[in-house]
Amino acid sequence: MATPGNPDQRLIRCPVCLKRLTLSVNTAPDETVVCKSCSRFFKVSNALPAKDPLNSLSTTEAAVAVAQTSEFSIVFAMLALISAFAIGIVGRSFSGPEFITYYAAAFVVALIATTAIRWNGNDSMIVSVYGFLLHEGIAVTRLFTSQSPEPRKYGFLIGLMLVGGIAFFVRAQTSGTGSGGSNGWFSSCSSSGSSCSGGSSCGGGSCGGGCGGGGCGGGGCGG
Amino acid sequence: MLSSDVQQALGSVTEKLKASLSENLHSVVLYGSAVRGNWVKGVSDINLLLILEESTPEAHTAIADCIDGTTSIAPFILGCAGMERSFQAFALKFRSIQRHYMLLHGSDPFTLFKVNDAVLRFLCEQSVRNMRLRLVRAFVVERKDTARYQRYVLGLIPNLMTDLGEVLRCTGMEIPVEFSKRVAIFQNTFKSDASVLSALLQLKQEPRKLTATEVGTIHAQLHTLLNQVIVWMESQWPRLETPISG
Ligand SMILES: [Zn+2]
Repeated sequence: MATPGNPDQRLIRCPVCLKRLTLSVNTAPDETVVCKSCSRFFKVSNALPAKDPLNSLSTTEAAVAVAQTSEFSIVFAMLALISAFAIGIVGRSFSGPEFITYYAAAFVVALIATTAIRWNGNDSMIVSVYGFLLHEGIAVTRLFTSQSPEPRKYGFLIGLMLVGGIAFFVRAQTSGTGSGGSNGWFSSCSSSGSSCSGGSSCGGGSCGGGCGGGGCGGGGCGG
Repeated sequence: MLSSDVQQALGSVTEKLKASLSENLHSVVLYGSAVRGNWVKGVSDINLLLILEESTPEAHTAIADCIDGTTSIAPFILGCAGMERSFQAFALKFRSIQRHYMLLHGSDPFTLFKVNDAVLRFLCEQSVRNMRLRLVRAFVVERKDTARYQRYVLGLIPNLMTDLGEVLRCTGMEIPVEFSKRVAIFQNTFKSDASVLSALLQLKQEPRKLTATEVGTIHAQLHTLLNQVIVWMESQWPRLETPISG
């Protein structure tokens, strides 16, 4: 559906937040775009059609957020690597202990930044990947560009690379529950600790086997 | 009054949902034990009914990201399209939610909720019969894995207490909110030993591992009770010819 007054653009709606977005008419259906309103990525083919395309232009323009291609995420990844290289270069003349302190500080800043972004409704793997690339990139730059006159001992640095790298992918578990039990940390990639816990039913639970109609999930409501 | 643990979990999840889904988020409704006041940390789920303007896979991913890490959130997600039909299809559940819920965001979906008695009775009977089927299957397939059977049977308890309550409400009876207080009413009305329900409620409050013998006993008692409920429904309610035409 072309945008009123601009045949090169068409209107779509984000399938997550429903904001109206403009998109170049040349964007292929299998391209991934990002919604400027909710920052979620989606395939153009999964976009919702815009309702009332000829509705007031001002409404459309207020919601205009030019969707960008998946190159956007590649650009962010490149930026993370370039930043990592720059931070590594700045610290190339530091002594070993100085660099470790510097590296730890950069790690804390990156972790806080990615956590803040995730808590702002963008809790996606790609944000963690940016943090990871930045963190590892700094250490790799150090490994190849160190000008420290001391003998090279990288055991501690590599340890920080590993531990810090993993830290970007763990998620805090705010309240322990169910069979998962106590508070703790778990990887967002793992299925353990998911919300199907505590023996409470998840749509009829693992025993299934009923016939039709029964479960609509979420356990009893007890009213 | 919500417990502080529930409030803490809900505050962050609701804000994330609002930020992520924006105008797609039609309603957020809290229901279940968290509203009734018998939520148990580490045991109970926090039940959230999420109604979306457009229920898309992308929105589901966004919801998953929002609740990821808050293990006790049990979402029940529906789209606005066909809401009236969903109300009919899940009338038992919605009727139960309607008694105790808290609107956390958006518009109240229950202003449109209406269901007739014939449909309710049909759904009650279907649900109890379904429960009996699942109970038998769980015992036959999983009795040797006692931990798995225990998870199943503890998950069954809220549904069982709710559905048996709904069966009696269809006849106009007043049913107490507290599950433990319902047991005696079930026992008197259905003329069947319902003490297994008290034992399971106790097990949920103070979890311990069931033995194989206990699994067998629980199965036998629950099966007898459900049989008796079904006999009671058959004797009290006329057979429904066309349940949805009412
Ligand atoms: Zn969006």
